[in-house]
Amino acid sequence: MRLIRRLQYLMGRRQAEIDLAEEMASHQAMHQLDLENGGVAARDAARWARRGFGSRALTVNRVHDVWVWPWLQDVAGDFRFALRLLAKDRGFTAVMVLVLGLGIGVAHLQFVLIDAICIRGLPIPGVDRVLFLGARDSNGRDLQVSYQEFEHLRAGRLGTSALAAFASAPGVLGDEGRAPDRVLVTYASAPLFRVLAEQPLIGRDFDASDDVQGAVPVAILTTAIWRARYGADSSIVGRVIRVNGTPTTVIGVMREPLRFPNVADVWCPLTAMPGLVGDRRAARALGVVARLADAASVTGVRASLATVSAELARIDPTGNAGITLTVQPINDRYNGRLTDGVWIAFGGVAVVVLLIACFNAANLLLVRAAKRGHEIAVRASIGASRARIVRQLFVESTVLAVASGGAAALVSAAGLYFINAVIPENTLAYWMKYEIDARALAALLTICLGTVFVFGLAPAVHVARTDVHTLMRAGGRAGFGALRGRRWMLVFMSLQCGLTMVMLNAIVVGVRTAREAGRRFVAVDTANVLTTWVTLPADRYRTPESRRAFYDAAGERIAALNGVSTHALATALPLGGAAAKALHLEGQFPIPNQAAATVWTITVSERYFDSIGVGLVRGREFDRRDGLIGREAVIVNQRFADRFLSGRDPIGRRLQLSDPGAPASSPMMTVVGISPNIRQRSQSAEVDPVVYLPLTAAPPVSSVLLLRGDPSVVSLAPALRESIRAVDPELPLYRTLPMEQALDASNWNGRVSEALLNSIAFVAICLAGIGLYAVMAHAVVHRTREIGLRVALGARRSQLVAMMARSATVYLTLGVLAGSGCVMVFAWLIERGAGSGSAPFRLNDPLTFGGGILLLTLITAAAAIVPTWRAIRIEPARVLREG
Amino acid sequence: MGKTDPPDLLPGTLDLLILKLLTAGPQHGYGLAARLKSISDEVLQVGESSLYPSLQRLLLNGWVKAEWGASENNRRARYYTLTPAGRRCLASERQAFDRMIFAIHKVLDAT
Repeated sequence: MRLIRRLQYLMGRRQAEIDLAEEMASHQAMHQLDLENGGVAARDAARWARRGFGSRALTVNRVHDVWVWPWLQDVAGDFRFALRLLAKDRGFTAVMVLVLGLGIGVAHLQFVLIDAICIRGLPIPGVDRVLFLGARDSNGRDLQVSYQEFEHLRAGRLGTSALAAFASAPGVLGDEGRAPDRVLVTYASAPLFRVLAEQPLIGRDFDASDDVQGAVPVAILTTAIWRARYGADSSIVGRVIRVNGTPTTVIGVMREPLRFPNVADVWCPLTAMPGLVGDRRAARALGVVARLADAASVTGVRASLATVSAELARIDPTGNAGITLTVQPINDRYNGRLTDGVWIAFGGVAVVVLLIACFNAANLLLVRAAKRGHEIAVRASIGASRARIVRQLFVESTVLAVASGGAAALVSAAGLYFINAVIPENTLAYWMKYEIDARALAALLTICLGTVFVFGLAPAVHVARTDVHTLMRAGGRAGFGALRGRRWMLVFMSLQCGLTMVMLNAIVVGVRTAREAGRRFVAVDTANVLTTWVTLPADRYRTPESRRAFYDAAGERIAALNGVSTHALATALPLGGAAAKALHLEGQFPIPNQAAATVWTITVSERYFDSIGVGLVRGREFDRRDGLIGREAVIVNQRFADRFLSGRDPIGRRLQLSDPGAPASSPMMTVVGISPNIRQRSQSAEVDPVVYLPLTAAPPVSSVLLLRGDPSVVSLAPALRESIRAVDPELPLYRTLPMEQALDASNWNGRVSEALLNSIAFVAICLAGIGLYAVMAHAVVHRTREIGLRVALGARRSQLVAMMARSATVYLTLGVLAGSGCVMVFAWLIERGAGSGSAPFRLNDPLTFGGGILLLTLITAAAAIVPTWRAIRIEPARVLREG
Repeated sequence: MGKTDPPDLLPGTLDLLILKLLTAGPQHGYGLAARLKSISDEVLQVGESSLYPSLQRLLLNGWVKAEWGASENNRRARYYTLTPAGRRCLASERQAFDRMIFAIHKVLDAT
């Protein structure tokens, strides 16, 4: 109650003051009237009444003290004073807030990413009892599980309370009388949602009778698709929709945001997956998740799996030789591993940036302390108590820290906004959310606050140690400068330069890697190409012939479009990924118990390389008949030739491919052409060996059409849609984009990391520059008198510049020394964490070092310009007069 | 005429006296000061720089309410009224004060 009244007073303070003034006036008037009534002359009465009232100011103050605690008034005064000081010293404040804001903001941004990708994991209740089961071949490569294996797992007693396999495939969702949508269908065993401990929002879960062959087809929708396509209509349960053309009953809707395993739209029973239970039994296409039974442990499950593996190897020696079944907690599988080189480097960068920012803040505060020593001495000498001075400095630090925290929140919010805007929709798994983490921000802020407090209080400590008299005598000239603070500044500056050099070296490594990648990969000509995706539903395009017929019919219509000069189709665009296959080269015998080498395959049509504007190194493109029986042909890339044939001519060589971990299953295929290296996987800096397969051999279910022509081709989308509708009216086209945008979308990961690293590097360079500038500027202030004397005694400008250059060189040398040490430590850490040889360039190779030192020199020079200019502008007469 | 606070007024006593005076009905600041002076035979002459902070303290504690009204000679004046909480406070403060005075007397009368 009293607190509320105090607040009310503060809100209506002006009115309260007016009331009080009027009250006092009325008091005086009544007094005067009484005096006059008592016979005092009017003039005397007025004077007496006025005098009798005493001090109005005192009354006003005391009343104010009643409502607002005096200590609060003091602190508020301190705040006002601090704000005024900081506003006066605008440059310092801006730089300080910028330094800390950038440092904390960037570090926080990185934490958010690391947390989302590596730490937080899936939002599953009791997630540590949920396991992911997979397989591993003799090379230690992780594989998925086949249906055949899953049946064994289900039959064996593993110690799990629920076990479910799942696989995802693109599909088409249709209803009577509405345009179909392309969706991602996840086929899953009935107990999937029991493993995930999820209940449907409406309707029911799958039960065992849904997941048998011949059952009535059923589906469960995600909230996202339920909202988007069915307007969140709860009568959806029981309605019949078409999944890939099959009439299917919707039995339930799961809650937002569940889209397990990644970005699923619809779940169907596993047995509904085309071919999986039948002819593709042995295909390794399934992920398996399980929930541990109450009494069981992961070790127990692992032991049971060893038994199952042995049994499988006995039953199917060709398919399961050397394969072991594996189990791990699901978050270990879905989270990025913090111990991976990328994340060590990423986290390392975050720490480095934060440290640079803190050292920088410390230095700036020490520089400021130098300027304020005199002011504080004056305050102390006119009677300010030590506690009073400390409180004042404390309040100043708080104001600075709060402003920096605000700036940091802005920086992270802007960064996250950018990242979220760049990532295409439906790419990130449903549990990955890049959003501001208040607790992390608070923790980072605390670290920086600590720095600000410790170094913000330095002048107070100094005043406490020295007697005021000495300080006053030293006056504004030396102030706080001539003391230990300077030694600390050197230490901080060296460390800061050192850490900056780590960043600079990392930038050099980044640039070299990018240039190397540019040299290794051929550029795809993306201008004037329109791309679109199409997926053929399984019910109407069951046979390869029907699919080939569709592509042919579509091709004819596309060729007839105005402005199209050439067209092709493929299962993936450059940077769009590729399927891994095991390679079996003719004439090279498989080594027992060792898995075959991996190659990456894409199926492409005739004129594919022509359409992406890349000429073959040698040989020819596919023609219509390649891939027919007796004419099995492939095109390989240059890397393939270098890696597997040690540069010998691959044309005419024959090879077979198989699913990883399986024996050779394809027919012998002859190499007819060599393509340059086109970057296929966006995440890998490595050049992968790629095998291009002809379309005729295996017309794909999903493919991307490429149309090259004159500049008008990118606006052909409506005409293209018409042409496809003429062939098949029920086929949705999706991701219809100019090729440039399509590549950007598939390379968002690369672009985000690049943009992120570039901005972090930029921030680090800025911070380094600011730090060096602060120290140099301080040196000039400190030496003003000396410089003035020198000029008075006849020093020339060139000599002054040389003097500044000398001191800059000293800083640079210290920085490089510290930097070399830091770089060595970081290189060692990365090597220990990631293993050597994983990156093409190292932080500490001579060329990288050279680049780093060069950049640091440039920064030092830039930071020295303004202070030097100030130094040569010093007027000796003024300095000496003041001295 | 130089009025100062009665030097020996115990802390909080002024608040108590004002509360007591207000039991007679709403009163303004000048009226309170005048009543105090006349009732105490001019012994208690309270300065305004004590009177008004004291009144504000009572307001803060919710023991009195303030309202603008017209004085007996038709001037605008701020009238203070005792609230039920103020009445309760007066009773308990009064007891405490009596105990204190009694104790002081006992000490002074001791031989």
